[in-house]
Amino acid sequence: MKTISCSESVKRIFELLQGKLRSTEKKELDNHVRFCKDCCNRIEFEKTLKEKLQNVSKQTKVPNTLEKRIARLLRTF
Amino acid sequence: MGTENKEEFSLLLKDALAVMYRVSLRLTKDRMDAEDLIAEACLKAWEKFPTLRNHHSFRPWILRICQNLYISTYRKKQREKEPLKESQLLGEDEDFSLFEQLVSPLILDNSNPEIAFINALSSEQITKALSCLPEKYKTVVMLCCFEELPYQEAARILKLPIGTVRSRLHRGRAILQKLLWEVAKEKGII
Repeated sequence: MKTISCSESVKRIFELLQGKLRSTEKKELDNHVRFCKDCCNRIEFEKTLKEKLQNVSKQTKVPNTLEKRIARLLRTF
Repeated sequence: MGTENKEEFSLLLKDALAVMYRVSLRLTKDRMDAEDLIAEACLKAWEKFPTLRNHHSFRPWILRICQNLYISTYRKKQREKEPLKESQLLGEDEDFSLFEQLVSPLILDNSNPEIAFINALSSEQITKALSCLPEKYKTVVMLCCFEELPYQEAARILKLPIGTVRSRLHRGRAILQKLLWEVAKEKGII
């Protein structure tokens, strides 16, 4: 299995979080983070930050005024 | 158009409405403008609905309509409130990582400083940082990081090659992290 550097590992962490990492690349990343505490912590950090951003987004709810407006609009179609 | 089409359109719209609202709100930065933009987008989408061959593509298709309407109608209005220029936020060849900032000097008095930092950030601070991103990065970051859309879908909405989506996401993420760092310093989190 190919060994990867920390900078390559960081690139792959973002691809991993986007669900875009191929299985061989993931195995190489897993192998790297098993021995690299910094990259292991980095995965945890980027994952937590990503979840935080998604939670912020989900807190924004569609206002009732818009739902009613769209419902009225749909009735005219 | 028939009743069947109308029902199908209504269902697809219902599924996409939340993401349409969040994206429109982040773009226009104004609730009323976001609602107007969505209403206009719905009208346009209904007119063009018969041309949409694959209904599985409804979400990127209608988000693309929102994006186009924003560019043609609302962006001029936004220019007055344009945030800082990219070069003022992050140098051309500069990269930025919150993780590296937090870990190397062990700034926070905590066993897990980087996670404590994230937890200390409020929704308002994150929203403010996002709103300061230059537009070309903001839309990509919003779609891929906040809305979790795949690269392909973001590329279709923005009519950009996937490679450009990836590179804008990389830089946009770095600028966002730098902005969060600045916000945190300003608010005394670090």
